[in-house]
Parts: sequence; structure tokens; C-alpha cells
Amino acid sequence: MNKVIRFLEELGESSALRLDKVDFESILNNEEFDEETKKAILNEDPAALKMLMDARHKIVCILIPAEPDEEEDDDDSEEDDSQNDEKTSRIAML
Amino acid sequence: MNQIGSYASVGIGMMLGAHITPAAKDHILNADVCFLAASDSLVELWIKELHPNVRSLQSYYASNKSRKDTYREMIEVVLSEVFAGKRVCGIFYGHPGVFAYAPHEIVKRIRAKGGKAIMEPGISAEDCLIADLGLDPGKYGCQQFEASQFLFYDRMIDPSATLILWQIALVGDLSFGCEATSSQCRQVLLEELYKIYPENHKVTLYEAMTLPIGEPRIDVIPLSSLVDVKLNDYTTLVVPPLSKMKRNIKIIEKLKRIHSK
Repeated sequence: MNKVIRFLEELGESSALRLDKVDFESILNNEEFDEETKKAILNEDPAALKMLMDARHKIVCILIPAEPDEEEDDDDSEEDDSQNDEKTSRIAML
Repeated sequence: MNQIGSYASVGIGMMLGAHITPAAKDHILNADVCFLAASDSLVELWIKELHPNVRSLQSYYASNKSRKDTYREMIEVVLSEVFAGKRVCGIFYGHPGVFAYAPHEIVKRIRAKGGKAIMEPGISAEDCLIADLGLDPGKYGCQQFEASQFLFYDRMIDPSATLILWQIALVGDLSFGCEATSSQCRQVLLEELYKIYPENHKVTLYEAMTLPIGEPRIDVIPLSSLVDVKLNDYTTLVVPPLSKMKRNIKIIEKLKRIHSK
């Protein structure tokens, strides 16, 4: 495994990460990273680290459309209507 | 004809190294082929270190392309490997079943053909939000919507419960693209929210940590500032309750009568 990725994986697994203040400087002294990589980690600069790692510049993390699947929507329409009726009557009761 | 293979949709959580479950990791390690939708490019590199055949799904996103087409293509490419008899793992950031269309659809279609498909839960952005903001969805109740869906459909908002809007940067995008929408679209959202909340209502912009360096984004702003702030496709809007919950005296009295019998 790439040593920077391994470092990040171990850091993520560590209980000290969020409870204690991680002393990046002393940890990094034991790692054979180049100075630029050490600097990016010390500065907690993900953008610089990604550039050094030649990682993808832009990543899209959107996995849902704003509308349900049309076919599914049609199939459920009858059920939806009855649920709506139920909802409406419940609201009216309140 | 090939025998149908098998499929697992697994969640790797949000933060590199911190959230992956032993079961999710085992699904990845034992798959013939993996497809990956990661929330961070370093997370992508990490997962690619775990398995020699990890194919990123990022290439299916494109400007001026409907995400509906993107998701359709993602589903097809995964299904083609499963129906070719492979053991396939779909790796998704967060929880593969939370605000995620393709992972559910893949599982559904394989099962419909008599194949074996499962979903392995993961730590979602919502889980991180709950922990980082100290927000218990059970305290006042919690309603959450994809931001554009919130606008496209009539919704009944309960101002005594928390409101969470996901994918706020893409609000009002009728083309279902993957680029941030204009401030005019955000203004339309604000107009809807102003029907319930005052302009100075304090809201939180939240972004979960994806790497073990840095901090989560927790910006508390007045609602009216939403139009000007920088939003990413992974920014979430949290609107706290405006009013106190109102006790339903009629129901409580009815229940008291039942209990007194």
C-alpha cells in the first residue's frame, strides 16, 4: 500500500484522532515522506495532498435524483393516493 | 447462458480508514470486480489499494448530462458483470442505501432475476452529522429531503421538528445535472423556507470529514445568508426547529381513558 494512504488509513483508525490532539509533527518524523507531503499533512491541507498524490481533482458525490423513478412512481400512485388520504384525514383530526 | 453471479452493495462510511466495517472490507477483498463511488479522491486511491480490480464510477458523471442517465449507466455496467457470472461489489461512500438510487436499484434488479444480492450498511453522512452537531433526530423529530425534491413537490413542514435538506448546492436543478445551481435557485428555496422560518433563523451548513485531517464544516449562518455562501455538492443544510412541539391533548386524554380502564 502507498505509504501516505497507509498513514491516512491508520490515522482514521486511531482513537486518538478526534479525542486527543494528534501531534502530527512527531508522528511525521517517523515517516519517510517528502517535505511537501509532510507540509500538506501538517497544514491539514487535503487539496495540496491530493495534488501531490496525483489524485482526481474533482469528485462528484451525488447519488440520488431529485425525483423518484417514473415507472416506480406510476406503480405506486394508487398506494400513494390512499396514503395521502390517510394523511389528510389524520391532519384534519388534529 | 452464464449463471448469475452475486452482488453486494457496501458502504465504506465517510472518513478514510475510520468507518469501513469488517464485513464491507471482506466483500471488497473477495469480489471478482468492484465498482466504486467515493466521496473523496484520496478515499478512491485507498480503496484501489484494497483490490486489484476497482473501477471508479466517476467517469459516468459529466457536465450537461442528466444524472438520471449517469445512474442508468452505472446500473447497467454493474449488472453486466453480475449477469456474466461474477461476484461483484458496489462500493459506495456513506451508507449505500441512504440518498442513493443506483445501489438499491441494482439489488432490486438482480433479485428480480433470481440472483443473490445484498446491501451492507455503512456510516452515512447523516450519522456523522448527528454526531458532529450533537443532534438527536428523536428529540424533536426530524424531516429530511433532497433539496430539489423539497421544491418540486408540495411538502408539509412541521416547524417544531428539525429539517435537513441534502444536496443543497444543486437545489432547483430541473436538468438533474451535477453542477451547482445559481443563487436565483437558492432564492426560490429561501422564498419557500420564509413561509415558515424568519430570515434571521439560524441554520447550519454541514460537511462531514472524509479524511482524517481537517475538521467537519459546521457553519452557523442566518437563513438569509444562504444565497451568498459557498456550497459544495456535499454540503447539507440543517434547519433547527422554530417552535415548540404542541401537545395533542385530545389524544393524550383518549389514551388516559384507555389506561384507566
